[in-house]
Amino acid sequence: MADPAASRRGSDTLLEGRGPAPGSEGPPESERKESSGFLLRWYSPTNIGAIYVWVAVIVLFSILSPNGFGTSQTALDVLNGQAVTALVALSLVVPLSCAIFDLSIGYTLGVCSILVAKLLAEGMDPTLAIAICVAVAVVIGVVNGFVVVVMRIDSFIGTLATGALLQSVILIISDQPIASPALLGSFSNIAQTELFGITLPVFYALIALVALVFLLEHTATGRRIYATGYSHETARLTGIRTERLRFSSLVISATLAGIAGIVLTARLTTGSPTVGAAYLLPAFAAGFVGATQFRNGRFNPLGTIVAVLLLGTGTVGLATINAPSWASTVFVGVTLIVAVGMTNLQRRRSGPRAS
Amino acid sequence: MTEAQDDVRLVHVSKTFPGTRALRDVSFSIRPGEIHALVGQNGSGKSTLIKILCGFHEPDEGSEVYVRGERIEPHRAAEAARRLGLRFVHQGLGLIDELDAVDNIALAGAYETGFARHIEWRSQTRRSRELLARVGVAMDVRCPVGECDAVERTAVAIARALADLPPGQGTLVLDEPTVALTPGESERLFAIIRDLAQSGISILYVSHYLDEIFAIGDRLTVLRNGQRVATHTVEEITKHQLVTEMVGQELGQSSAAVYRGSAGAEPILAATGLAGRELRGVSLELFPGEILGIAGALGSGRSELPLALVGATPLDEGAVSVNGVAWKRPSPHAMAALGVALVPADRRQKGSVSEFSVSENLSLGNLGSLRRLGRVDRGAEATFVEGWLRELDVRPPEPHRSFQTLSGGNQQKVVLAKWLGVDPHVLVLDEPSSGVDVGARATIYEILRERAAAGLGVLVCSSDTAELAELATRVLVLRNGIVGAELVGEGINEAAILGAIEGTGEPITFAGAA
Repeated sequence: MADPAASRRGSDTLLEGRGPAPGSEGPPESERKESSGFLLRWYSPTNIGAIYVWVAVIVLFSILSPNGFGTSQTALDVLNGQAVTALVALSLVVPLSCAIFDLSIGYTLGVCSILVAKLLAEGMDPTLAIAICVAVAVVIGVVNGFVVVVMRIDSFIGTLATGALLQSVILIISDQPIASPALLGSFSNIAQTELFGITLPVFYALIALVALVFLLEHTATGRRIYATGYSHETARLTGIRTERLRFSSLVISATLAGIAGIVLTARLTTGSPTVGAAYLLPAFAAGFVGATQFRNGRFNPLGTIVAVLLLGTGTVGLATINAPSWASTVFVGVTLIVAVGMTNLQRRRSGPRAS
Repeated sequence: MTEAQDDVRLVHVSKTFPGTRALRDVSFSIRPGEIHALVGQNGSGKSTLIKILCGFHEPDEGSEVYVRGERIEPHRAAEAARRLGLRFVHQGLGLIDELDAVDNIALAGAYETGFARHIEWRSQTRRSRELLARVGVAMDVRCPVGECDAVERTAVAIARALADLPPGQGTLVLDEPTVALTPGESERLFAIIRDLAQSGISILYVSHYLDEIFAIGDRLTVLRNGQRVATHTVEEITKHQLVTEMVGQELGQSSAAVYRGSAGAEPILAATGLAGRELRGVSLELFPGEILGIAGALGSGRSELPLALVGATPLDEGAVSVNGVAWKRPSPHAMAALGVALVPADRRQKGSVSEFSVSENLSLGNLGSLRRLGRVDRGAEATFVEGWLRELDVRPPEPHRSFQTLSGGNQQKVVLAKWLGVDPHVLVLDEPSSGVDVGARATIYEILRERAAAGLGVLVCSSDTAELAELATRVLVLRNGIVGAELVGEGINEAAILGAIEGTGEPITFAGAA
């Protein structure tokens, strides 16, 4: 904690060494001799505060409800229950890193969720139905890209508008929940098959996590995405094709959200026209809390997942102690404000910053 | 102590900033009804002096400022200066474009309000018209000022500044009022200023344009390196003498290096008829191995040219050719791929990512060649970055340090290294030493000379004539969006460059060489 600049340096270096992606290397030779200091700093609350809070939440609920909460079944419930939220939250990391808000993801999820149910209920082959829904998600991403990047409408406004349009699309497809025997069987297996009690969506989220960590933290494209988000003009003048990256980021978020929608329908074995919007708040909350973890303010996939688990654990824990229904959104809101507020405080202490 | 007839009187005014003395013992006075011009190059202390007058900076101990005979106490300077009738119109005018003249004038002082504090729009509008009439302008006071012409906007700013003073009283400080004006508009503004002076208002007129000072000024004071060189009446000095006093160097002295490019070489970069916001048809050729300087006053196109050359601003007309291939719509991506790089003037917004580490900033332009199996090879990146940090002597040489904790000079070295690292053919630098300390500046000059000798084409746009005189092997001077003069060899010295920037006559003859 003595030298904030050094602590920032330390966290960077250590993460590079400890990154979860395949084939990552240890810290460079010159840094290794100081590694005990880095370990201390890496474990500092300012770097991985959410993990400490997470542990505290687990301990707290285990004490409050030793039989209800402190069981391995609860852990599985959290994992299985948060897989779709994790996919949606991960879908936001790339656009957020480009400084783009994709507010339409909830509705993109909704469109794919209801569309896959509708197609299956009408007797379509599951593989084809899934392929069509993924294609639709890609098209939604392209439309978002057109509105935000080509038409140069601020992403906040542009995706708010496309989100409203997508809401209409959902209602055109069906304004009633769709439950059909066709949703059972091989289709529902994509979400309900278990390995050691863990359902497949958890593994989908894991695959998305690894892919995004690789993209954002290990490829040139990832570095260019962050540069575009932080300083569009610098990136552009460096010869980076910033508009292409911004466009692609919206296609990535829509595609992932669409996949999450398909998985959600398979999990619930019902297509509902109203499920989408509920995922927007937790997904953005996880993205912002995640940015306060590991990378000192940078949106990152691993931090996002930690935040999803923290928020999910809190929600499940509150349910096990029979807390009133309003408590879980209180937990989400408070966690978001505290996490981001703490990070701002720490940054102010570590000297002047741009904006 | 003070002479009663002076409106403003400065006695032994000094200002020391950590590390530099911006003003040293400056004394002069402004008489009632006089237009007093303040001239000097960038960094001569003009802005510091204005900021002392308006109370933004506190002058050093022993400095005395009198307004209308009353000594201004340093710690309450802003309030006292205002009370004594000192008024300022700063360079950007400080108007709100979306609001009309009535609102812009009223926002600075107060609205006339009636019952329940509702605004008396009718009398407010009448008052605005009166104030503008006093400045000598009849205009639509209900038109948003963003849609008014440049002279009207300036008039609104002047009317606002003088709003609470009785007619014909006060002192008006005008800081570069003609920067955004065409020659015709400047003439109209001069008429306004002359009328104000006639009515008894004294005016301190700050400008880069020497011709203007001869057209409008009564007396002038020359600053150089924070010191007053002389005060003259306009009649008693020639432009030639004035330039000599501003630069502090006899004309004809030269410190420039000689271009060592091979004769008959093909230009590596060429611009033909570039036109855009300020540019009105700039053509130039850059040869490998030369350091081409671009000089020009504010608004001459000097700050637009570097961006236009790399395709960062849209061109209305013209083309940029790289190795003989013409590009009508160049893009930064295409230009970077062709090896044409830009070190922009705005280092924080356009040259770097302040949230990135030193290493991430330095390797950003070169990630493509640091890849192995789709990943950025961290070992190769570390070697690349550490090599450049050593080469340019960046301190501290810590790749993982946060970029924004570096000093300006070291930041600039990192931005420069980012581009040198891609082994460019052409390097365009815009104000390469703004906010850069002397040591870093020397390192940057040295590396530019070294690279130029190895065949790099270097183009340096700068408002600092000393920088161009020291660095450039050839200088093009922009005036009103076109190339107005070319200086080569012996002809390159500060006085000649400055003369060519200011001049409308025959700059090359003026410089005494061709």
